[in-house]
Amino acid sequence: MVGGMAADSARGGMRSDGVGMVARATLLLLVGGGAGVALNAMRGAGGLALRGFEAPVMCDATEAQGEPPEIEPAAAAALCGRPDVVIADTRPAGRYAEGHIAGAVHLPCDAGGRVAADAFARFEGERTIIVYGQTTDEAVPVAASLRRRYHAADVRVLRGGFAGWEGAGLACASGPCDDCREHGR
Amino acid sequence: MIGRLRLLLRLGLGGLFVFAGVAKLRDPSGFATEITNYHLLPSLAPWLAVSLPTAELAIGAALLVGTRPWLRAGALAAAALLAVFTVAVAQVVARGIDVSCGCFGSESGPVTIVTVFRDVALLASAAMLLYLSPASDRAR
Repeated sequence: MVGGMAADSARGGMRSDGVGMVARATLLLLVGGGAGVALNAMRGAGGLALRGFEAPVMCDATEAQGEPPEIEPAAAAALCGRPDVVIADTRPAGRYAEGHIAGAVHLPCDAGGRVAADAFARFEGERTIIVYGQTTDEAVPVAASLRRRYHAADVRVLRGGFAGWEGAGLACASGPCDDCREHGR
Repeated sequence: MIGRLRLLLRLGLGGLFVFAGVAKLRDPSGFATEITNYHLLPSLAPWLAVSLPTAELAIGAALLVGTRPWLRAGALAAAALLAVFTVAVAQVVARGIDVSCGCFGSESGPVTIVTVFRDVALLASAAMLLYLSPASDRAR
């Protein structure tokens, strides 16, 4: 009888310990996380926008697995105009205005959240995305960002960049970039 | 022996959580982008980017300097977070998404099967710390 009461008491104590542990763990997560939200609010304009956040394009070199595959200018030209293909120009606005591949979306590597989001909206559901810079390497960070975001798409870097495209005498377009006024690049 | 192992786990896990929290605090925008790239709850990415680092700091502090009840709570919270992280990186590997880990800020490497094994090992360490830290020493 006494032994049974002692066992019940021990079980009750363990249950109480367990509940206390879960409560403290929850408190750690909530107070810790809440402190982060408060810290971000204290940063004001320098803090992260919690509503309407759009991930920007990353300009750093890719750390992800493998370099994006390349495509020859002639092969890219053959894909131009197909409805499931989008071309992205990663160069600054000035260079884009001087001349770009016909129909290319302007998406510089340092495009901010909303600009990037608008450009990315064009990529939804596309099977092939061809990215180019002035050179091959210049397009790699944007291509890496796109590969991370659209893993089902075939993202390729134009070999030789725009210089290679021009050198091959392929079709170009020129004129001001309407979207560029938003990010001034 | 058990005391030394417990101390080792406290220092290792606690130090790791503090390091991870500080590294992520440096670049919330970059961390939010990495979370978005995981293709899991992208609308929550900014909220997670600002709250996760400080939650990790709180857990790290509890593991490093907490009294026994807080050490146990820290180990449980660490295990819960690591379980979520393990599921996140495992689905990335399973779906073949090409993404940076973001585990320790912008300098983290890509998510691979090694990342999954590392998170499983850390989860096991947190569970072991919880097991080795009973509410009272008489219990074990």
